[in-house]
Amino acid sequence: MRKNKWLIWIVTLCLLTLSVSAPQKSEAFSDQVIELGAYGDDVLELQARLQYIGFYKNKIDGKFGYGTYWALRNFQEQFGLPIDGVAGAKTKERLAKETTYHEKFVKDQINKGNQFTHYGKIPLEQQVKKGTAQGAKQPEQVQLPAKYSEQDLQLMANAVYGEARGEPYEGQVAVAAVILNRVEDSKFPNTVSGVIFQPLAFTAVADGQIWLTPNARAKEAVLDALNGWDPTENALYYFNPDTATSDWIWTRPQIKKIGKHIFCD
Amino acid sequence: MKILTSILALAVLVMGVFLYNSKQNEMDMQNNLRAQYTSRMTDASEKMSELQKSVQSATVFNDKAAQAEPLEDIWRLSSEIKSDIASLPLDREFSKEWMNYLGRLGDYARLKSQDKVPEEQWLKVTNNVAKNLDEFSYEWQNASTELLANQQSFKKWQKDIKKDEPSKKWTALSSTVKGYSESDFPLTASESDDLKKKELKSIEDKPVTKNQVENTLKEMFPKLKNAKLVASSSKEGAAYPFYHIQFNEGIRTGYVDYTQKGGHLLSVLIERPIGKDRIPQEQIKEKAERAVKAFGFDDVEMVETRENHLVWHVVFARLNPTNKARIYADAIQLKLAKDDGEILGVNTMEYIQKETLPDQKQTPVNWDDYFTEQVTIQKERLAYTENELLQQRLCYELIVLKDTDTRSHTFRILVDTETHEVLKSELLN
Repeated sequence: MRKNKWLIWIVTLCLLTLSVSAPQKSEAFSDQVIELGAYGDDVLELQARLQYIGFYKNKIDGKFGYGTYWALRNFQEQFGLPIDGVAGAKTKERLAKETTYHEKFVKDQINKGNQFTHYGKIPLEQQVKKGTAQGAKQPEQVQLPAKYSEQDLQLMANAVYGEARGEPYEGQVAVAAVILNRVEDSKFPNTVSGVIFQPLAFTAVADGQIWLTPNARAKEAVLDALNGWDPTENALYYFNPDTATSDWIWTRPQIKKIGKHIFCD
Repeated sequence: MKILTSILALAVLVMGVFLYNSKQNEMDMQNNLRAQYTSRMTDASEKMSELQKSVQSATVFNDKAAQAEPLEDIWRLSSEIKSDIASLPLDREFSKEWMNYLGRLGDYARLKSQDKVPEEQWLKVTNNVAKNLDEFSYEWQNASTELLANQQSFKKWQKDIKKDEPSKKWTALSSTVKGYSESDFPLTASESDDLKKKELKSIEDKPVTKNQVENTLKEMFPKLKNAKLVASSSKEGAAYPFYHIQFNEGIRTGYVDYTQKGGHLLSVLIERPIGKDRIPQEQIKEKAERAVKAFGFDDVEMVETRENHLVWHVVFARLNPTNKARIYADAIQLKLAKDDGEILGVNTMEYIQKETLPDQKQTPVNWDDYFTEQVTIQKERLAYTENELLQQRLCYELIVLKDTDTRSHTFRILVDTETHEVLKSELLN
């Protein structure tokens, strides 16, 4: 009997220790550990909570960039947590304890295209500045290499969709890569918009198909090209041999055929 | 009957008004467009004359201060004429050659203003350019005057400048400028090296067969082992010969390119639906690290990860074994699915051919004097990046934070270890 009592005590003690030391899932956030480079709802919440207590000063956009990284490190330092700039279970739990997250408010403002902040000591309604894009559907946020902007992505997606929506995925990445190859080449304008709207450069501009709304696949293709993929192996031109009217284009050195397009230098 | 006739008459009237309005709108648009094009052409013509004068002025002065203004004018004017040419519906060959010539002239003037061009070379080149610009300026004025003087339809006007019915003067300008680009601005050694890297000129490995690269593909991507493959060779105009393989295996489709010399992977992309599951960022990083090692790229370091709504893009850069500096120009990009971390893309185009690295001094910099008091250096390491002359330079790579009451800004700054010149400054998100 005495032996059993000891056993019960030991088991209870073990369970108690386990319950204290095991990482607890925070009430807020998801289970994901997030760090520099992450993106999405967890990052949105992280930024909003860090701003609530004054650590994060930049735009709440759901992208874990350096602004979020330094803010998180400062929070970890002040609250005696390991300073690694990574939002793990303990950091999230502490953050959830110290702050309030007005999820609906944050997401509403983002969807409406408003400028806003999420500081704890100011009434929320005083932290909204209505955007000029009120009512317009907000484009999905993306993370791009530093030298490109979301406007570049949008313009290129329009061009790719207008020029190559019936082509295989590779062919769509290829059209986007040709635009970027021209931007890098001294013989062409040095901006994405300059290249796309150069007169006579793209059929989709001439016939207005560039103004069609691009689908997710065209955007994905552009994203791959912006991240470095170039299935054309450095092509500067392409044409459809069945419909091309220019004799000049046939004089260019040909590299590869993808779908209906021949890519050339 | 009367009612029917009235309706018919009304319909004809409405149709007539509609057609008239459409025609009028079309005419208005054509006139606006023609006015814009004409304005751009005359603008370019005037600037061409100014450019020619500036080049002449730049060759007159030996004094650096006196030379500064004409050099700045050359850079500005060549850039503005480039912009004019880019906005005109000109023959593609013509605009390409002109953009190239003006771009090189502008760059040359900027380098001269930074004392990066020897005086002797500068004089030789600018004397040629000055002489050529005399001719160009005259020809351009003639050609644009001819177009402006002719009272012709918009369509005829467009045809003339598009070279469908080419004016002799435009054709002459196009071929002349091509010849002068090559003689006035021959490629420098660094530009030539840069082109060689882009064209994979130093790969001397033995040729491999289509079968060999097909097997390599299946080894690298076991999920494609039963894929239906369609392989072809690059066309004759490719700078380097390669195999292009398109594949299809269940839900996966895509392509892969391998060099014919040595069978080096150039790039691969796999397209498949992405599920709603999400694996942690840490696992994505581990999978990416394991993949580059498995593919045999064992001299690289992960430098960046970027999550988007369906995939992760991960970037690696080669490390110089002697000083562990990152060589950003020798990069590898991976694309991983967010649902299970499957490798959906690899791009090794820049990694295949190694950059030539200089022997370079490292002299310390007093960062307290270099930066304002508002900024703090958060990270410092060594890295290579290219300068304006397209040479790889060893740099101090700094992650710098500028923190104010309202916002924080992070910069990535690369400072040449020898000259202490800032070669790159990027504002990070």
